[in-house]
Amino acid sequence: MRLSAYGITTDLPPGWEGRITKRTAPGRAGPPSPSGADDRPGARGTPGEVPSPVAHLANFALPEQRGDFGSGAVDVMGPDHVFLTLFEYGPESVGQALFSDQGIPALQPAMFNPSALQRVIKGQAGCQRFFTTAERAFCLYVVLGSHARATTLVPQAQRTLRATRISPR
Amino acid sequence: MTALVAVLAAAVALLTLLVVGLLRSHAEILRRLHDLGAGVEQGGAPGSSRASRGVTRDQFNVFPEVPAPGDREELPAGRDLAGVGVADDAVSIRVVGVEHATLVAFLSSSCLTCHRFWDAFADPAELGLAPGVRLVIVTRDPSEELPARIAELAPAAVPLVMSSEAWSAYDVPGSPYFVLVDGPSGQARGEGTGIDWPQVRGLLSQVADDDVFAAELEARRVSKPGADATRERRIDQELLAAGVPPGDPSLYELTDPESGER
Repeated sequence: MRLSAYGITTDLPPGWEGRITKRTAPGRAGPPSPSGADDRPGARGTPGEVPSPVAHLANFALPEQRGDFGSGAVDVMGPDHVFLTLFEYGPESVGQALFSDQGIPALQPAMFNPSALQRVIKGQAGCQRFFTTAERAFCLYVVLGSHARATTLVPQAQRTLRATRISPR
Repeated sequence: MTALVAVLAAAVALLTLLVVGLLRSHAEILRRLHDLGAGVEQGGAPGSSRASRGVTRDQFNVFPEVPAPGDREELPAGRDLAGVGVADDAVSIRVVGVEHATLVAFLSSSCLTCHRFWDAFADPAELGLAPGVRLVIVTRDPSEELPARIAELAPAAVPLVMSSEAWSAYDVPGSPYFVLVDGPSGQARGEGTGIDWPQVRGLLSQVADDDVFAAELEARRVSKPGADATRERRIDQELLAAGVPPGDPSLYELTDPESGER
């Protein structure tokens, strides 16, 4: 099943689904919060920022209310599940040292660590890599439902990444 | 006297007309019953009126606000869903080859009956769906819908895909329409519609009841090879307890059932 938007294209393996979103910036849509701050469910980022595409790929049913790095999704993961985020940064990030690695990274089980999670959940493990491809700067963030099953789950994530292509803007 | 005769003649004529009308009405009723197969004996000749027994699709009527079922006899095959969403610019939702079942709800922004479902889906926790059922809303493509209106109606917690291709793939006759797909097998378990969510939920519970019934039947089924092996083990144990080991000559001697002599 093919998923394509904003120059990100992936042919998802069986059992995987995904979303590619360029989210609405906070404060731009919907009714204002009584408190004045934009604390509506789903509002993410900071006012004034220019949203960039975010791809979420997973081998489980993605919940609709998710954060850029999977909050809301990682909470419902089982031990056989994998969650993968491709988060694009602005063009000003291209050429910076953090994004000096070229091409979508190849994943290895040793790259995963429970302390690499945005939010530590018992049993899970994460991996975060920054890279540049097609003159676009990205962060790849992958969560495994079970660190103990890394040798089984990482090849699944790697197969999905290999089927993902990013073209210039 | 002449007047009396004239009145009687008119009365007779009127009664004659009434009787003729009743006879024609009776004949029409009998003809319709005959068409429906009533009064036909079991094993009637092929091609007789029994062949037309039942309600044809032309005679099947539904509420004007809900679509009638399609012409096909089989349920549609389950298909994965891909398109665009109201918040997501590319959406793919796996329906086939997953552990859960998916209730695909085909809705539109314009049909009045659909609004009852949009309202009901605003709070998925109140829907009473079984834990293993995922609800997904599918509308037509943005070019055939009112995307802004869909964005207003779309429930925050229910996945939504805009895909006319899915409508064609599932052979959807109109909206609202629902297809329940079993994830592991990828087969549709049921399809249909209703005028509100309680009615559709009732249809779903019938499917669930069928599943429970099938599971109960399966649980009660005796596994013959297992039963044979169990019986064989028991007989061996009883023979051994009686001092008859495997291969004992007494096992192969014929006994006269009447005299008891070998």
